[in-house]
Amino acid sequence: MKPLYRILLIVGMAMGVVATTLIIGVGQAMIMHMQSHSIGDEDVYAVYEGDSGGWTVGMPLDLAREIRSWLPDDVVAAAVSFDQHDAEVRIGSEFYGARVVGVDAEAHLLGLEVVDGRFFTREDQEHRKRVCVVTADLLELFGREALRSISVNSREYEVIGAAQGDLYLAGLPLGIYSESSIFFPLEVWYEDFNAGRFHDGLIMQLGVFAPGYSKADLSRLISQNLIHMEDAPALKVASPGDRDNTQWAKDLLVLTGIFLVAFIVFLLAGMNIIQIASANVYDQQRVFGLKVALGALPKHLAREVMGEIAACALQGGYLGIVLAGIVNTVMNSYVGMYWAAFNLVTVVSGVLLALLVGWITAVVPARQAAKIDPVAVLRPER
Amino acid sequence: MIELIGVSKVYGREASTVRALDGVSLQLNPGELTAVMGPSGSGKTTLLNIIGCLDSATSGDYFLDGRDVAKLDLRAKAALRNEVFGFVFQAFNLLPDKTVLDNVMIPFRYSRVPRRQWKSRTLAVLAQLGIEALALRYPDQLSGGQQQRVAIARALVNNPRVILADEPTGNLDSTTGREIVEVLKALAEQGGKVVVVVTHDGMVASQAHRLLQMMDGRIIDDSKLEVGSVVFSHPKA
Repeated sequence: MKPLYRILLIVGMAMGVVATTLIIGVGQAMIMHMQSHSIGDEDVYAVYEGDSGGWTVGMPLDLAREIRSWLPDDVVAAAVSFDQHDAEVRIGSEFYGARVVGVDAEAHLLGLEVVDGRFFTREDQEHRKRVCVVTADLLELFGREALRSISVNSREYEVIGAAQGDLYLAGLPLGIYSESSIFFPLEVWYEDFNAGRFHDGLIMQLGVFAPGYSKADLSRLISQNLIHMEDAPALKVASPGDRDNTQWAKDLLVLTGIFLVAFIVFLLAGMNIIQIASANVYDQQRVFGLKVALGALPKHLAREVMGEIAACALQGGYLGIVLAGIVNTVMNSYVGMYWAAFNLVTVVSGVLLALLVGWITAVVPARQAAKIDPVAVLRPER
Repeated sequence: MIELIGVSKVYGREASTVRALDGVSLQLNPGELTAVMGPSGSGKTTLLNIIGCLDSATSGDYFLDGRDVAKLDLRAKAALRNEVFGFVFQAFNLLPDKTVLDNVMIPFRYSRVPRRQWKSRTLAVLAQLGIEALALRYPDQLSGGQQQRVAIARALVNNPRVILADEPTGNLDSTTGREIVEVLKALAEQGGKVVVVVTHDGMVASQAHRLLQMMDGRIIDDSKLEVGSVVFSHPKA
């Protein structure tokens, strides 16, 4: 095979692998994206102060407490603070970039499941006990022994439990929680990390567990009380199903666009491979004719063509994986939180699919090679 | 060993048929260099292709060592091309991206010769033709005569009993052409092979033991040549 054809085939295969990994990766992302829209616990809501210039405004703790007082007794509500960005968390001898969040004792009813020890109580909170609860991932990462206590800004806190779950599902307008969050009693958090300035608007939301109540019920309850307030804040009630549909649709559109582009690239790469491989066969007619004269059977020629294309497919596959990784990284940095899955499954299935496509597309030129009439192609050019 | 009886080859269908061979009968014997001459379109190459099992006769009989070639399947014909026949072409048909050694080894790919013997057998044939020093060169590093010797080495590497050469000197100057014909003649005389050479060149034909003159798909003259016979060249076109 001529070097030019080899290069073109390798590039074609690489394009095919990039396209297939994108198709599979973006396909997975699309499924996850669509599933995320349907997931939601309808009994959990978030009350938060509305946007100001694109930013969610934090509410003071006393406002959160007041809102809580407006709610019926059978409704559980817990204030949740913003993340304390500059806290220095030390676990054992290691500094770790964990998120430091203050919550009310009832927060564990909003989507967190205690998997080790216990969550702190209202009593712990009122007595300003220096205790905290870590996420299950942190517990798994460092082990129970290292997590007997942690140090934040050089203060020691007893770790009394570990919890897992997705607080975002509780309708938080900002998804500030990660696998490495540490939850502190809200008052302790204010005193230790905000110099006890309780009036600072650092409450991100009031998480509400209100079984039997609709969002409209909660909105009505809150509105009724807001009417009587001077300088009433613009409070909003959100549920997990309320995610920004416009953004969701935009993201889905972007993913669908990438999926379609990848699919078109995939088809073009496939046709490209057939064209190049056929051109290669056409260009080498004399060679194939010669080989027939030297004893080759059609199956030998077909096997040689398929072998050459398979070799290019393999080389293109390696190149494609590298390119797919780069494309994926670049794409994810632009697409944002809805990343395309680029994992072992994606890579392996991408390469296998590309090889399959390579094999299928090799069939056409292989058949062409097998059908070559040696008498016709070896005829001297006059 | 090779016997053709009333062999015809017709190309095309119905009104637009071309009779490339028309009832050709002949016997080819070991140790004999046979030259086939005739104007273009007289059926020389078609005859060579049918003898070499590259093409099939439309009618007539072709016996190789007493076997009816028409009854052989694709695989058996391919095995004959690989083991019994060696082809030499005007355009050499060497693969430019392969060394002399690799070019000459190509027939082994389709044979039952164990891989461990490929190189030694190839080098032996190259030595026989005096070109073993060129083994690692590429075709574009060789002269025309050297390239044709490599092509002959490729035809000989599987030790065939029949050498079929289509205009082997067509791309060579007269001195080199004469050398190549001497090689082919030696293969017939010393190697006991059947050598058939299609040519327009009177010099080449005059070296043969036997001359077949063709016209319109028929053999119009089949004569033994004496040493020193003069044969006039045919115009190519």
